[in-house]
Amino acid sequence: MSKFSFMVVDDSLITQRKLSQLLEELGHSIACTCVNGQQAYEKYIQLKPDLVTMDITMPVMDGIESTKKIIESDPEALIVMVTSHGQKQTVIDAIGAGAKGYILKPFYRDNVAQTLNKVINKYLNKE
Amino acid sequence: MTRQHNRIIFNSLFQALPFGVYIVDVQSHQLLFANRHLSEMVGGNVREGGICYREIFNSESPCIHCRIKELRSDGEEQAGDNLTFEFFNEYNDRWYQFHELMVPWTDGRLVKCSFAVDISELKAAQNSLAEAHARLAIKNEELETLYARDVLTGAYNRVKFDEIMEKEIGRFERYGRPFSIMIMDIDDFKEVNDTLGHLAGDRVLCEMANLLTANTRATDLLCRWGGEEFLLVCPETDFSGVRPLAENLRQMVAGHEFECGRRITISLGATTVKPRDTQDSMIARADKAMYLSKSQGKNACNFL
Repeated sequence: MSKFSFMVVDDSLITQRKLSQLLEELGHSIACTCVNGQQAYEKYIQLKPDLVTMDITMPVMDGIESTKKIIESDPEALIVMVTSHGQKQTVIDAIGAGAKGYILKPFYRDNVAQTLNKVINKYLNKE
Repeated sequence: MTRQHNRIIFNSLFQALPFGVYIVDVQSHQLLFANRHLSEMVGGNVREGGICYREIFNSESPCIHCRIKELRSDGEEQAGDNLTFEFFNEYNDRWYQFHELMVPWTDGRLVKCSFAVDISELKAAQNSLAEAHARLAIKNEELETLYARDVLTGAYNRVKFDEIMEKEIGRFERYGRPFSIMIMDIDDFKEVNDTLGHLAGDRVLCEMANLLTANTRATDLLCRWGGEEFLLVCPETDFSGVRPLAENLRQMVAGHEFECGRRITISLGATTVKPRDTQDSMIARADKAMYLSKSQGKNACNFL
């Protein structure tokens, strides 16, 4: 399977590091990391990564708002939430904003790989 | 008992507790006490006397999740104010239930005492439920797309169009909110299919749908009406609004370079809702206006 470029968005540097490492272990590359939703929006337009992992609670602009803005500028954007928020309404808001997957912390290798592969197979490995 | 003795009892009791405990001065964020369990939760180097967010959370500014403000929200914090919340600790990947309360410290000032109980097992069950919920919500979105969208172009289909029209006519009847519709027919589309093939024709339809979506307002709804016909529903738009919109679309399409290399134009017919209108009566008027454009030599707009 071909590998893809990721943008990792999380205000926690620990999560950024853990998630980046896991994605690299899975054979993907990290296009950039961002610490808030506003930065993510700006970097997305500039770098157009294949996929984005997005936290929800962040300063300046939260992950749901950022997801909405990114999808507004690129309806094909593939964003997967990686968050500690498992409340029903937050889940619905995130999916409604256009997230294609939802992973709760702590994230496990198999869980992340499975969720990402689903999105990759559906949207990126169509041919 | 001496103060020293009190401190020893306090220490041995709180150190023995099977969950994390720390105490912070709410004014200065100074860490007054942290038990061993708490220190282990965050890597083992917590120093009493330091600033809580530096010592515990390795941060240079107060934590985004800090609840001191909330505990002090009435501006008159007092002993007994308390909060319970759940928190995910990034350092050891575990979930904690925090119980925080305001208590008077030995020297009389108010401090925040936090207890952190590990609830990771409970959260694991809750999380798999929430993830299942998310998968279901994603499936629902996909089903909604299948149900409401034209497979080729991604524009709304007739099923969805009927829904949209019912809603807009209802809004007009109840609240008098105007709306307009516009039929757009690709001129000489048969020739594209006959000379370039049906695959090229399909690509023109997709390109047209993207072009029209990109050049209309976010509130306008594009539907695929027939083979080479599109229908645009423009909520909150009266006659004076739909006129320039239609003319802009006509010019924009006529000026666009399609991938197949041909100049392609559209004929438009638009109409605004009137009292006692039905979906059929509006479509009949828009259709008539569109055929008027065709009879005028195509690449034109008409309004009825």
